[in-house]
Amino acid sequence: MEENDPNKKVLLMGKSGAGKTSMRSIIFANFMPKDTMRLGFTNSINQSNIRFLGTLSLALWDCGGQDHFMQHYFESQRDTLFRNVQVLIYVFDVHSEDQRDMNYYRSCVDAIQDHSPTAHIFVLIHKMDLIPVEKRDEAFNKKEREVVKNSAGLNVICFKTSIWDETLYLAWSRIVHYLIPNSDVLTQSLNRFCSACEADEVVLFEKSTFLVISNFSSKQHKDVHRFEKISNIVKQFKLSCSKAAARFKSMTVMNTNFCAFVDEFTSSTYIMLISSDSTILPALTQMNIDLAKKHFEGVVRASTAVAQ
Amino acid sequence: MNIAVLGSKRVGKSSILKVVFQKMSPNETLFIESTTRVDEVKIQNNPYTRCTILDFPGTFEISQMTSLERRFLQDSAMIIYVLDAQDEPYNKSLEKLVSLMSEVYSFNPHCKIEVFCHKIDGDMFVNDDVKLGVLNEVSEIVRFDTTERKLPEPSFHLTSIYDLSIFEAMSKCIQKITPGVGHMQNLLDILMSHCRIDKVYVFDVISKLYIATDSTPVDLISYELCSDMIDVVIDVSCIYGVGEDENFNNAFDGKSTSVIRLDTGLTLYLREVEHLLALVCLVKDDNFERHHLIDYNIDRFKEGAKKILDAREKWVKEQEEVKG
Repeated sequence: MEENDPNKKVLLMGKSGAGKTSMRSIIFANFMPKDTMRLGFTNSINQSNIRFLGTLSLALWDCGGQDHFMQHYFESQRDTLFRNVQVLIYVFDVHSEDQRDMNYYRSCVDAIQDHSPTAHIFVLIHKMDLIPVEKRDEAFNKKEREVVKNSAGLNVICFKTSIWDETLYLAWSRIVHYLIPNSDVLTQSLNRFCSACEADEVVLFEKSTFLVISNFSSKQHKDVHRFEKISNIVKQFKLSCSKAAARFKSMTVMNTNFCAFVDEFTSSTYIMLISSDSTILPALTQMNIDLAKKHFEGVVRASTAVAQ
Repeated sequence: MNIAVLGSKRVGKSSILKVVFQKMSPNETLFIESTTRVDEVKIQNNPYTRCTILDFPGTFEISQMTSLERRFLQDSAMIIYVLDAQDEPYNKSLEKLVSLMSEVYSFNPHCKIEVFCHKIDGDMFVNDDVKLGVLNEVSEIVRFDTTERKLPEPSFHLTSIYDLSIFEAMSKCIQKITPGVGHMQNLLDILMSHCRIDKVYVFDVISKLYIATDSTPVDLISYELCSDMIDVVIDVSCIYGVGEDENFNNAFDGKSTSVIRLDTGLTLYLREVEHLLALVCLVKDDNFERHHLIDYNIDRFKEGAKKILDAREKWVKEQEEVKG
């Protein structure tokens, strides 16, 4: 029943000051990373409903992490809070060695096990930017081991994140992927479209968050994090456009080796298409994208539709 | 060509240079240590931005300068004097400026002086009126002193490292001492009127300073859009446009082109002009229909710009021979 509910409940938890509200604001409310310094602490639970991909609705519960709230969550609110959860996101500050933090996590996992055993659990090891580059892997692995040990055997996916680079988009793209009921439909259609255009790769982004929804590549590329980087780049540009009271509709970037198109696609997505074959005229690719829009409108709707 | 940067202690001289030329993020400049001796920063991004910037320590006093410092100032085509706008009153710092000016003009009469009223940011300067107030106050005091001593009046700029104003001011300064900029501007004006372009810039891709623009006034919004567009183009090209064993320099090549359409009916168009130089223009959608004509005209502009550059190179060489 929970899988098919169009209202997806997402719990965002973690110790006070870990950066939960900051990351939520950047992804869903178009904050610039530096603007998050102004955010105060979250009082109890901040519930927001986010429209995603047109028809999906994410109920994001941003749970303030101060100790007395935490105790409430596990005592009086335990039943309501942890029921019907689709995704639990627990945020750790990579710097904090506080043992209470791990205990809270442990309690969360227990509560989830009792009330929503099908929920996906993601752990974000946050504020990686505060650690020197060469020590990041080591710090992450250490924390990950600790987390897995405390997860009561449940399947947990850990990410290292920072609001200052693309790692945040990587983590959230993977998380929303679990919330799209029929993402296979999308990937298959993209596959067909990609080969029809003889493109190198096609990526679909959600319109307002610019998270990666789906992608298909016909060629290997050395940079595995390129989509998140693109998300980050385009989102930054979107924000600077809004300073000029404008919104960007499409962009093409090319040099001798490649041609990239980023274009408004369906009513809830943007598409990016990369082509390295210089014999294909850009205008032709542009026409292909325009013609595919109508078809994909249906595909996107089908991918988010709830199975009856 | 040398530019000397002077000013009192902790007014942000080194921060300006780090942010503009070394890509330091403004927040990190808090940790820069104070400069103890004259630092030379060599800028050699492309033929149009070639200069040496001399970062003087804040403790520098014109009355106690060493022979080396005197030689630096003698060779400088321009002096940028930085003033902390958040540190009122300005009298003392401006007195220093005027005595500096009268001393420098005695041995380097062709030196241009630019005053940056810096740190125009934070809560004090939310209002535009306050910013203009500072500008008026400072220029008033300086004008009074300079007319008294029969010195030429310097130019003033309001700057902050937290927005693009410092980039704009620096662009203007470098243009002032770069020969041939006037001709470039004429070429851009012709290009603009024939293609019905709204605004056009020629950018140094690395520092994102503009080398030349048309004669219509520069507004920070269009400058910022164009500058952000360069970021996008370089970043995307670095991901998809470089081969296995190539580096950043190959990302921006002879065929680099980009079109960004906005919903306000404007199109941003970018073309490569020369190695690491980009022409960025804002065009209304209707005028962008005849895209190929704009391309043709830009190609002609490139030829013209090349000739100006060649002539200038020749001139620079001749000057050096005369000196040598």
